[in-house]
Amino acid sequence: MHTMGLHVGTIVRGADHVTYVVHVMGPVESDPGPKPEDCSFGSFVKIVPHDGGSMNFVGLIVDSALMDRDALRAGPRLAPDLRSMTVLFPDFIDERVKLVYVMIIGFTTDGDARHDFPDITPSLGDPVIKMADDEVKAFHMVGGAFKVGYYSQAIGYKSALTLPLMIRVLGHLARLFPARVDMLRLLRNALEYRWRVEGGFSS
Amino acid sequence: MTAITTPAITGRVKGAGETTYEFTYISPSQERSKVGEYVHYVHRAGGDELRVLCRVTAINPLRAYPHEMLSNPDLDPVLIAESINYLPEGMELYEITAQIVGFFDDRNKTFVNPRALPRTGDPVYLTSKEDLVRWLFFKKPEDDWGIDIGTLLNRPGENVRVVLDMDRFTSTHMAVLAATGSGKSYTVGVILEELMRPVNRAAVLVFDPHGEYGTLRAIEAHPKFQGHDGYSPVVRVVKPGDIHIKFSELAFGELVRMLEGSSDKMHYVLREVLQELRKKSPNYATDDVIAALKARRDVVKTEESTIDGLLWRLHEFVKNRKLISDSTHMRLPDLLKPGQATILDMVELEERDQQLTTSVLLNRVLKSRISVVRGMGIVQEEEKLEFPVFVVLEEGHRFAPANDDSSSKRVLKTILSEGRKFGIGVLIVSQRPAKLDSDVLSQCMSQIIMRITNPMDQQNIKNSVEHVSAEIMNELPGLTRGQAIVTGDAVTTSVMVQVRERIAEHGGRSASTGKEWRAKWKPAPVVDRKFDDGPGKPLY
Repeated sequence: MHTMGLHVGTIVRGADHVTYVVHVMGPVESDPGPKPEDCSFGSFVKIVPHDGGSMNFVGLIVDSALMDRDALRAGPRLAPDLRSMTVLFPDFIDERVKLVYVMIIGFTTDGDARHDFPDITPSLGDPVIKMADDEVKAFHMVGGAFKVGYYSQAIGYKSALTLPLMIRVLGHLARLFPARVDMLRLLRNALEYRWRVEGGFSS
Repeated sequence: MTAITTPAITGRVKGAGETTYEFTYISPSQERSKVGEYVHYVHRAGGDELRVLCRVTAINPLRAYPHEMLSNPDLDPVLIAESINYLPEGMELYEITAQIVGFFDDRNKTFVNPRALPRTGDPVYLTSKEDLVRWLFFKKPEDDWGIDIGTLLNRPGENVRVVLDMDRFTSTHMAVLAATGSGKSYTVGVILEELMRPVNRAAVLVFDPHGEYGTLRAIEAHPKFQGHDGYSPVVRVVKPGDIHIKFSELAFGELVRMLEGSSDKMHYVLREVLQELRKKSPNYATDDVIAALKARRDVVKTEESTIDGLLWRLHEFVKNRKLISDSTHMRLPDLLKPGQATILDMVELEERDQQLTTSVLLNRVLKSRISVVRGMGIVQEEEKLEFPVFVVLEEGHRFAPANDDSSSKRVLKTILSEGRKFGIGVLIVSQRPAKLDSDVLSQCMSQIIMRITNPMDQQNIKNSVEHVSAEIMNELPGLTRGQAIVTGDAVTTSVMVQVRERIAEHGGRSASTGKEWRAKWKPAPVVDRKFDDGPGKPLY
């Protein structure tokens, strides 16, 4: 299993064939755990299947949610804070979790990237790893040519956050691919206009 | 039942178009469905499978780049599209509008409209070269009496020859209409070359106001124009100084038109004098008329001032006119004979003299042919033309102007309406169809129309030419030099043609102004400035 890179979390639920809910590692599960910017909106992540195959899924963090299953519990607590809890009850699992939604936009097989969602799905518990900039760059070179082949899929993703998501992604890519800045800026400007002008006045 | 071969399918029928005889089809490529291209579908009727020819009139891309992708002129949208997997290869799609021409009726050599649209999903085929040659033209290149003017514009690689039926257009007349510089006289030159080929051997008279057709003489010695039986074409160029009209050949109306400012009373007196002279001899001279008028003045004192006015006008406008001669005569059989093209180089003649020459000669040709065909003795034996003739009128609007009743227009109208019976064909050439008389234009049953952008010219063509559809009119501004639309009797349906190269050099080529200016430039003479007021002095 290739788990090179920062382990962000694990898959705990599949929302549909391309969208997965990831439980972000908390301080109890990982020390140090991922920082907020490691699983920020629009980040590239890879899902490394447990079965050890050569294929890695590549996804984008498209949304997030925070949950506290202990919230509103009225009973007494034996430990006053989290630090005491981990000392007194080492097998305690924090009930307060951060979830992120990952949309699969492609996959890599032995390093070759494809911008398409695969027929198979990741499994529950599969680790989700933050992709380094080099990996993001490699994923966007398909057959030797620069590609953002998931553009239409991402734009078609039904969410109020679709446009700002791709605006961020294109900005990220512009930093990684300075030679493609003009093209990426053109696409980003088009989305900015749709989001800020058309979106703003259409409702 | 007609055997159906399996030509290339270019698309599938989508449904009805905007008009009754239009339909649309969907194609993944516009390469085989360019505007003007010929396609066909199969119509099944009573056990027969009829191939219905259609002409592509519009192409509408169904999958276009979003505006945003076109927003930076420096960026190639193709590269952007490729990068985001938009319109990957093979995703192009076009909705193509086709106008039904009809299925070809071999017996009547004409297209018949099936009055039924193809069914949705029917295949649309690219029509083969062989079918186009068989369906579009009455003649093949190897046939006698064919006029090969070029190749079908839509099939540049297939060399589909556009061959006009000479018999049809020489009997029902033709018009070549084009803006200046679009290759109009070049195209007429090609037609003249074809008419003079050994298989055609036409008798042609060209009224050439610009002196453009003299270069046609090069065909006289050209091997392509030599016949196995000793035929060799003759191109006779009549220079302006050799163009003469015999005074007695002038019709009364033509003579009166020359006498500028003449009154009705003058016309009355002149008519009587001419009638008396004609009784004595058909060959009278200007001096005979002058003498007769003077004699009448001595007798009829009340007409003295009228006759004085007539005499002054005869001296001023007739006797002093080089074109009018009392004795010299251009014999029709010298001007017109099979295998001879006579070019009347009228470049130095004033426009009114050009009109007069045309009027007189056409009148004589008409009378001669009527005399021969009807067996009437209205012309002398030496004037008789025993064969059909073909007349080319360059700058046709000069001889048949829209808003002027010239004598040449009247005889031209008669020839255009009745010339077919007497074997007189006319080719009218004009760069200003709006200035050309509508009746004259409408009598030309075949047309070669080249690039025309002037809306008034387009409108006159639309109003006067029944074969011309709105689709053809839309094509006119898009034609480039040497490209033309041929429509009317000479072809089975309208075709777009790339006019072939001339064999003889073209005489109407535009001169290079810059070249001539440079050649004529001379250093400025040194000015002796000693009497100048010197610099700095104000002009006033």
